[in-house]
Order: sequence, then structure tokens, then C-alpha cells
Amino acid sequence: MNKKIKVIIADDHVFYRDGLCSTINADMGMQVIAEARDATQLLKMVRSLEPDVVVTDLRMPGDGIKAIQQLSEEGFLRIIAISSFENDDLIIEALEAGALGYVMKNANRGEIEEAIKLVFDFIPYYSQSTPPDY
Amino acid sequence: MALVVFFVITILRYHRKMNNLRREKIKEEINSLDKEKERISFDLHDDLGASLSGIKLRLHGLGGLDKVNFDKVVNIENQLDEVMNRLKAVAVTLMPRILQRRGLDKALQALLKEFSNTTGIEVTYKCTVDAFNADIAVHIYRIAQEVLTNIAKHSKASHVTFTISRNRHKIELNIIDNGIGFNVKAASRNNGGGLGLQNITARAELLKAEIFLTSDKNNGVTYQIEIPAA
Repeated sequence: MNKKIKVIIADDHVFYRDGLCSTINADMGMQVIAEARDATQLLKMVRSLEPDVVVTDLRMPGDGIKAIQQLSEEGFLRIIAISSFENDDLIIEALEAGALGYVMKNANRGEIEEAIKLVFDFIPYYSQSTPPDY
Repeated sequence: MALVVFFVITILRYHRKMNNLRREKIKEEINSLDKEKERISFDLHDDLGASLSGIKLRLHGLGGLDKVNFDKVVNIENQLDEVMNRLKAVAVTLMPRILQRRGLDKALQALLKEFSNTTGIEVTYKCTVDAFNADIAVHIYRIAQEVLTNIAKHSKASHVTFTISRNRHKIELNIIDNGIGFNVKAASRNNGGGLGLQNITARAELLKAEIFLTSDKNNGVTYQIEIPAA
């Protein structure tokens, strides 16, 4: 039997974190091993728990972009950035900082699972849940 | 004689000073209001929107449901989608990110498309200006919002023509509807018109623009706004 993909999620919105957590855990092939609510917690958790994939918000206390950059410099590459805003300048910054993919916060369960599985295999993933212009 | 001239000049200077002060005060109030709108829009989208997305994900992840409860969950998910769409619409009205990201022309196109979709009023749009100063763009966008709100509420129009053009001296905004029109003089006497007209006038004043409002009964309204080119 294949091992589950170990995921750490980071977001300061508790409702979104809960939703993301239950979505990921509902998939038999992956499991959330820790939840961070800011960048500092995220860095500590990744160093101590050695996850396979990180899914992180960009706008959270401690700066999500800096956390991605730091993790990338430490050799951790399987990072997915999440954002509320389409064409958010931060998404580009996140990819430049080392994120391997991004999903929008309005992404459905299937898309989130697909993103995690692809990034786990080091394949980039760019969100398909792009909302209309606003 | 000299005393009279001195007196008149003093009064004129005083009026000019008071006008400048009043304009500055209006400018500060409008800018502060715009910043507050931007903050609320961001919070609605980033905070409440994200929370609703999270709740939807949790609902989506519910397992072991029989047919009746599954249908109920799907129904709640659909209602959540509707709430999220309304929330986004409110956030967009408060501060359209497209204006900051892609400029006035694209923002107006999106605004007019939404206006036409929600009101059923046909729109003809033409913009021949390549680029706008960011401050001017925000005020023109807000003026357009106010005018379109007025048209949607009162005009009973079936068509709107919206054009922006520019020459060496001015940017000219023309919005013409084919609705029932209104009595411009009466509206002006009524404390400068309704809140919409007052907002349009205040923003136009900040741009040092001139507004020419013409209307005949059953012959629509023309809003012509001339903004000095920066």
C-alpha cells in the first residue's frame, strides 16, 4: 500500500484552514499532519515534521512569501501557494520565491487534490479556478 | 476709489481662499472614503470570501450521506455559491481591482458589461484615450458608477452611449441615455440634486472639471464632463 502524502497547511483564516484540512483528509491518499496559522509556525513545523507538500496562504502574519523563499533556500520545493485574488501580484512573487504551484481559494476539492498530487511529483500546477475579471 | 478696489480684491481673494479650502476638504473626505472602501472591499474578499470558501470545502467533504441529506448539502452549497457571488459583487462595487490592475478602459468595459447584464439596457462604448493618470481614473470611474446608477434607477432608458475622448486641453466624458429625462433646473435647485448628482459634482470639482447636464422630457439625458488634461 502506498504511503499517504503528508501535507502541512498554513493560513490565518480558521474557517478556510478547517475546510482545506477536511478536504485533504477526505482523500485516502493524503493527510494533513499539521496546521500553521502564520509563517513562523509554518517554518518550524516543516523543519520538525518533514512533510511531503506544503499548502500556504500568501497574506498571513509573518509573510507567506518570505516563508516560501526560506523553505526554498532550505531545499524544500514542493510548495503550493493559495490566494483569494486572481492575477494577484503576490502569486507571481510566490512562484519566483520558489512555489511549484498555486490554487485559488475558491478551488473545488478535486482541484486541490490534483494540485497536491502533481506538486508531490514535482510537476507545477497553476489554478484553473480563475474567477471572472473584477 | 482705491479703497473700493482694495475692498473688492480682498473679498475676491477671501472667496478664492475659501473655495480652495472647501475643495481641499472635499478632496480629503473623498480620498478617505475611497481608502475605506478599498479596505472594506479587501476584507470582504480576502476574509469573508475565504471563510465561505472554507465552509464550502467542509460541506463538500461530508461523507456517508443518504440521498436526502446529500441533496440538502448540495442545496446549501449552491446557496453558499450565491452568497459568495453577491459578496464579490459588493466588493467589486466598493473597489474594482481591475481598475488598479488593467486601467480605466478595461474597468469601464467590465462595469458597462455588468450594467447591461443587470439592467437589460443596451450600451455603446468607445474610448479613444490610451492612458489615464491613476487619480483621474478613479474619479472618472466613480462618476461613471454614479451616472449609471442614476440611469438604472430613474431613466427607463433602453440605450446608453458612453464615450471618452481627449484632445490637447481636455478629456471629455459623454454619457447619453434615451430615457424619460428630468428637469435639470429643478434637480439643481433641490440641494444640488440627489445624492448621486451631488457625488458626481463633488468629484468633478476635484478634477476641476465642468459638468454640462442637458435633458428634455422624454428625450433622455446627456452628461457631458470636461476634465482639464493633466
